[in-house]
Formats: sequence, C-alpha cells, structure tokens
Amino acid sequence: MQSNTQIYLYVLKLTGVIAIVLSLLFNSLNPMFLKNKETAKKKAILSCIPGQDMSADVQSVFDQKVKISILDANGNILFDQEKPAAESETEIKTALDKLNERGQGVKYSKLVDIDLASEEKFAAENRVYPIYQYEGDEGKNYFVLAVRGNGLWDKIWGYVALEYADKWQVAGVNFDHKGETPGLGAEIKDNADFKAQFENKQIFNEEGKYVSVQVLKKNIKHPEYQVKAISGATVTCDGVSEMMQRGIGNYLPYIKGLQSADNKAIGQR
Amino acid sequence: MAQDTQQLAEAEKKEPAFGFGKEERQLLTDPLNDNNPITVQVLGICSALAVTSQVYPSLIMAVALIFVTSFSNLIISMLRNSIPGSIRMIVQLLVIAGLVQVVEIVLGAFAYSAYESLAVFIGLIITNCIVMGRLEAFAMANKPWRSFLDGLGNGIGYGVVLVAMAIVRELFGKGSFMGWKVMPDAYIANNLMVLPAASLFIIGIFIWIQRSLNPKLVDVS
Repeated sequence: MQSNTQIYLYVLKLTGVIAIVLSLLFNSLNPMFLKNKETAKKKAILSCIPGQDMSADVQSVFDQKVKISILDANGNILFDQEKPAAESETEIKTALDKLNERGQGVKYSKLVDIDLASEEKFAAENRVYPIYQYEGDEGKNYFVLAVRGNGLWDKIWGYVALEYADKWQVAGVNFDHKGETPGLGAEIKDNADFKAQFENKQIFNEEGKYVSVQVLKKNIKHPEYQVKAISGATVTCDGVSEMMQRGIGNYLPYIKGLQSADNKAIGQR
Repeated sequence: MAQDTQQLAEAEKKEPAFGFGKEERQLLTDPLNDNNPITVQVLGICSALAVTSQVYPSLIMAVALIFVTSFSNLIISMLRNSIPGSIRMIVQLLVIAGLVQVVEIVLGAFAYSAYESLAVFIGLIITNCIVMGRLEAFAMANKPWRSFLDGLGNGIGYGVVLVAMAIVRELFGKGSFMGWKVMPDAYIANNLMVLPAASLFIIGIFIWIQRSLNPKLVDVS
C-alpha cells in the first residue's frame, strides 16, 4: 500500500513527462500545421475563381494574383493592399497591429489570417471584413468575399467570387461546414452541381434592389438570382441563403462604391 | 512473498523478451476474427458508425487507433508494477489522452485533409472502449512485448472492420472508392448508405456473416 504522498508524486511526475513530450512535439510541428491551414484557406478562395488550375502551386499563385483589402463594419476601406505583401511589410504590420489592439485574444500576423470566425468575437460595429481581389488575365478582376453563418448543427462558411460584367454577378462559390450531416447538409461542400448553380447569378434585381442569391426549395420565379436547395437539407440550405444575404450585405457599401466611382474602372483597379 | 517475486523475476528472465511463438501469433490473429473488438466484443461502435462514410478518413482513423492501442498497451504494461492501484484508471486515461494528442498534432502537420474530415473523432479516441478495455484486461497483467502485440492485433481488428464498412458505404453511397468513381454513370447513389444509420445494419450483416462462418462464435446457450 502506497502513501498518499507517493501517489501524488507519481501523478505529478507522469503528468510532467507527458506535458514535456507533448509541448516539444507541438512546438516542432505547429508551424507545419499553420502552413497547412493557410494553404487550405488560399485554396478555398482560389477555387471560387472560374477556370482556376487547382493543381498549380496554390501559395505562389495566391501571393502573385490576390490582393487583400480590409473593410470596416460600414464598408469603408481600412487597408488596401496595392503591392505584393513582401514590398509593403510595414504598412501591413501597422494595419494588423491596429486590429490586434481590439483584444479578445485575436492576434493576426498576416493579412490572410483575418477571418470571420475570429471577427465574430467582436461587437458588430468593431468587426472588419477581408476582401480578396483576384487579378485575372486580360484585366478581368474578381472580388472574393468571405461569408459565415449557421447551418443545422454548427457553423457554415464560404467564399463568394463576384465579377462585374455590366451587372454584378457571382462567378463562383465555395462552401464549407463544421458538422453538417454527410450526404445531406454536407452536400453544400461536396456537391459540385449545387455550387455550380450559383455561377452567373445576379445579386441585384431588375430594379437595382439588393437581393443576394436565394436558395429555395420550390417556386423559383427568378432564376437570375434564385437557386434550388438540396432536398433533405432544408435547414442547411436556409442557412446558406441567410449567410449569402447577410454576408454579401456586409460588403454592399464597398461594392456600390466601386460601381458609382466609375463602371469601367472596376475591371482594372 | 519476497521469494515469490524473486522466482517470478527469474522466470521472466528465462523467456526471450521479443519472442514470436504460437501465443504471440495468437495475440495478433485472435482479434481479427474470433475475438474481433467490433463484431464480437461490440466495442468502439461509436466511431465505427460515424467515420465510415468514406474510405480515406476510415483508413486514417484505423491507423490512428492502431497507434494508440498498441503504444498505450506498451506504456501501461511497462508501468504496470509501479502504478498505484487506487489511481490506475486515471493513469491509463492520462497515457491515452497524451497519445491521442500526439496523433492529433501529427495529423495536423502531415495529413491536413484527414485532420479536417475527422475533426472531433480523433479526440474521441480517448473514449474508445477498445483502448481502455485492452489496458484493463491485458496490459495491466502482461509483459510489454505481448501487450504491444495485443494492442496491435486489436487495433488491426478494429481497422479491418472499419475499412470494410467504409468500402461498402462509399461504393453504394457515392459510387466511388477512395474518391475515384468506380460505378457506371447510370448508377444513382443511395444516400441512405452515407447516413450513420446505414452502418448499423452493415455491422449487423457483418456479424451475421461472421457468425455463420465461424463455428467458435455459435451461441450455445
């Protein structure tokens, strides 16, 4: 029979050994994990762009072609990346430091780190929204917006690429989810046909009113901005609809600003 | 008492530390059929229902569990004489939890897509009854090498059933294998197979087939 002191010591020693092993392992592998996470995010953003070759080196394509801007809750530009990240390090750092001052344990060290999951910790008026501007060939530009909402079981999120060709329209979307039902709600991510429906949909109706892209079960009267829901996944699809409505809405002042400044300039900013 | 332990210690010395005789082979092969953790002991069902909708995550899950069962068995067996009896389960959990963390960190760094698709289920290996069951039933009373083999065998026994189920479910539920389309285009995927409920009756069918083929498993009562 062992004394209590011996038992305490035993547990302490074992916990200490396991803690040391785990922290060493974590410290040596965490940079790889963070890089994987970043690549996955860049991949998700690029996959919204039509005709994007996803087998290419995502990191270098993203760094060359995508510029990130930050909008505040009213749609004003807080930071506009005009040069590649390597050439504007100090400006980026000042902008990020300002964001990090808001607290809540949010620490961004790169522009691409900014995500809506972290922004949700702040009050609505303090949030910022990232916008990813993709410079395509022949001066064709895409604006990728981040959206986030609720599915049936947990959070859903995605990226929406918009382009301006006489009208604002969706060029492509990418959705992901935390825990939707496989085969039903999870189809918003897995089903390519569902995502393809969003292509070339408009976000303003004929009268110029903002409508977003609506996901409906039936009664599709306006195929120019309505798509068909996945059968058996009504709640998730309603969530997607709501997420698009609110998510694109966050960027609306910015989008309208681009439009009113100069229609032609949208393509070659 | 002192003599007994001395005799035991001498007996232990005579046996080779890493022998691989008939008994050791049985430790590995028993859980594959006669004593399969899923179909015979009906342990670890939770993850078998949840992750088997596709082959690739099931494969990763199987490898992760094989790692955790074999190494937790090894470590607990090495510590078995020093673990205070009153807190043995806490110590077992501590070792399992540590190993599961190792799996999670390594997956995040080297197999990110699997890490994403398995998400919470990696963490839930901690509660997988197979791991704790083997620690209590085997590792606490056996030497390290044998315990390691027992853990390996049980992990493989679990993995084989898991991957077999995933092959059936992905084939009929999505018409594919490891993401490659194998069914003809005319095949309409059966969504029921992707739902967790499908794995219940697939396990049932597996158990049925196994029991009718294996005379040892016929319930005499």
